[in-house]
Amino acid sequence: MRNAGIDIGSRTIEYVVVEHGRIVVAQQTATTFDPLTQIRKMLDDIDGFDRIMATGYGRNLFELAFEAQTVTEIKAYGRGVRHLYPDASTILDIGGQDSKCIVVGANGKVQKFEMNDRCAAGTGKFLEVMAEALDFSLEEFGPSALRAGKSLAINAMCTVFAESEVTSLVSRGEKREDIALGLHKAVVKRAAGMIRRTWVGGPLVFAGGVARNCCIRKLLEEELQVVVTVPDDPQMVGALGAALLLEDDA
Amino acid sequence: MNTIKKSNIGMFDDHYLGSIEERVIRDTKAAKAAGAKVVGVYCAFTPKELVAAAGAIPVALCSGSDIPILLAERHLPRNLCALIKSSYGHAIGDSCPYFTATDLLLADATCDGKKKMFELLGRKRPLYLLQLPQTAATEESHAYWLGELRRIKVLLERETGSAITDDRLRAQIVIYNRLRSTVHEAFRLNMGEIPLLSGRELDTVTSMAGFECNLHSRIDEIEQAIAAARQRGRDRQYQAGVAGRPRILLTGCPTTNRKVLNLIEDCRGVVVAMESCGGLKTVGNLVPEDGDPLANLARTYLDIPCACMTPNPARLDLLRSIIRDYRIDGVVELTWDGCHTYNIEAFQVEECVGAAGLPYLHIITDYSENDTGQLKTRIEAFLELLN
Repeated sequence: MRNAGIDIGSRTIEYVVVEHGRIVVAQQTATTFDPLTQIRKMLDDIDGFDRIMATGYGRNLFELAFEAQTVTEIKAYGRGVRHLYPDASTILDIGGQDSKCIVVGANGKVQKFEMNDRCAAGTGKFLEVMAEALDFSLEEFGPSALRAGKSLAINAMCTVFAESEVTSLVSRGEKREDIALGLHKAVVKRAAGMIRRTWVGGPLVFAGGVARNCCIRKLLEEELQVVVTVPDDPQMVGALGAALLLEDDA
Repeated sequence: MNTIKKSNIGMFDDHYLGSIEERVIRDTKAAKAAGAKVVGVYCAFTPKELVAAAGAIPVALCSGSDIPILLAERHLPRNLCALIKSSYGHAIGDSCPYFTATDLLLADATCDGKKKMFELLGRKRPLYLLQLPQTAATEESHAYWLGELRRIKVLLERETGSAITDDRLRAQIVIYNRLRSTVHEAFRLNMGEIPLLSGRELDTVTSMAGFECNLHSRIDEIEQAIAAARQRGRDRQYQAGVAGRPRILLTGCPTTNRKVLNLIEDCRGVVVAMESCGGLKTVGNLVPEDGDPLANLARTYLDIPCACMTPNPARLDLLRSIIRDYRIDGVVELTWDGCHTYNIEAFQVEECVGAAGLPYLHIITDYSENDTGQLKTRIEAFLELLN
C-alpha cells in the first residue's frame, strides 16, 4: 500500500509517498497563484499512490478537486516529527504565512498548540520581504545576518512597519548585515514568546521552511537555552505526517 | 481527518427565522398604530419587563453585521470592539429597521466602550443611561441599582404616559419568566447523549426575532420548535449524523456575529451550549414572582455574570455546571477584539476549564472575514485533538 501526503502551503507544495513507513517519493514545488495546476503537474510527473491525504492551507481546495481526506498541518506536523524523533514533545513550525508551536503527548497525539493570528508577522513571508528590502537572496539572508558586527533593535513586527524601519536604518548608514541580524532577532523574540507559553520542557524540534535559516536556529538556541533539532528536510514534515496518518489508519 | 461538509440537519434556518420576523413586525405595526412606543435596548442588564409594563415594546438592536463598521469608524476608534461599532454604525446609517422604529433608547453603562459610545448615540435618539454598578457582590450596589431602576421607571412613565403599577410589572415578570424557561428548555434539549439542536439552530430558535411584542406567540413558536426537535431523538438517520461529533461549549462575548459559531459547526463540531447573553448566562435565573417586583428585578438582573462586573465568580460557577450537565468535550472562548473585560477574564476561564480537565481554545477576532483561513485551521486542529 502506497500512502501519499500532500502539504499545500502558502509558498510551497510538498508531496511524499510512504510505503511500510519508508519514504519512497519526496518532491517540492512552488504554490504560485494557481496551486491546482501545480499539483496536477506534480502528480503527473511521479509514480502513483493508493491513497492520499491533504494538509496545509490548500487542503480544502485539494479535497474538492481530488478524492482525498484532509488533516490540519498541526496534526500532520505532530505525526511527521514523531516519526523522525520518537521522543520529541515540543515542535516549532514556521511556514510561509504562519507559525505554530505544537505539543505532542507520550501517545503521539497533539495535546495543545498555539498559532499566530491573522497577520504574517514573524513568519517566512516577513523574512522574505525583509531579505528583498536589503537585496539579499533568501538563501544568503541567514548566513549574512550571522556575520553582523553589531545587532540593531527592530521594534515593529508588522511587515509593513518593519520595512519602513529598515528603510530609516539604511538611510542612517547602518550596514545591511547588522540590520539583518536585528530582523532575525525580532522573529526569534516573537517565536520564543509563543514557545514559552506552550513548552513542556525537553528539546525543541524546529520544522517548516524557516527552519532552513541557520541564523534563526542559532538565535533560538541562545534565547531559549535549549538544543534545537532541525530535520534534514524541514519542509517535508507535514506531507510526511499526512501520509503516515493514512498508514496508521490502515 | 475531517471531511468538511455543511451539517445539513437543520430546518431551523434563516428562512424559518424570517417568517417569525415577519409576524413580529406585523404585530408591532399594529401596536404602534394603537399608540405603543418602541424602546431600543442594548444590553442584558436592562429589565425589559419595565418597558413592557409601560405598554411599550422592547427591541434589541442590530449589532452583528460587518457592513456598518466603516461608517461607525468616522466617529469611533478603529480599535474598538466590532459589536459596539456595528450597533453604532447601524444607528447613524439608519440600516437597522428596528432602530428606525424606536422612539427612545435604554442603555446600560456596562463596558467603557459602550458607555462612551452611548454619549454619541444620544444625539440620534433620546437615550436614558442606566448607571450600572461594577459589582454585584455588595448590598450597597444592589440598593444603588434598585434606585436606578426606580429612576428609569419614572422616566418610562413620563415617556409613555402610562403608569407602571406593581400588578402590571408582576404580570410582565411572569411572562418573561415563561420566556426564559422556554428558552432554557430549548438549551436543555442538548443535555442528552445526542444533541437535538445545533448551535446555529439554537441561536435561531431562541432568537427574539426583533420586537418583543406578543410574547405569548413567541413562546408558542419556541415550544413548537422544541417539540419538533424532540422528534429527532427517535430519528436514526439524524442520530447517526451527529453521533461522535465533538460537543463544544461556546463562551465569551455575545455571538452577535455567527462567524466563529459557523466555523466550528462547518468543521463538524456541535456547539451544544452557549454561555453568552441571550444564552445560558441570562436564561437560567428566574425573577421571583412574589414580593416587591422592582426589587426582585434589580436583584436578579444585577446578578448576570457579565465580564464587565468585578469580581465575576458566578460566570466560572456557571461554566463548571454547563461543562458537567452538557457533557462538554472542549471549550471555545470568543473575544471580539477590543473587548478588554472578556479578553482579560479569559485567563481565569482557561484555568477553570483546565481544572475541569478539558481543552480550551481562545479566539480573538472581529467581524471581518480576512482571518477565516487561520481560524479554520485552529478550530479544526482543536476539534482533532478532542477526538
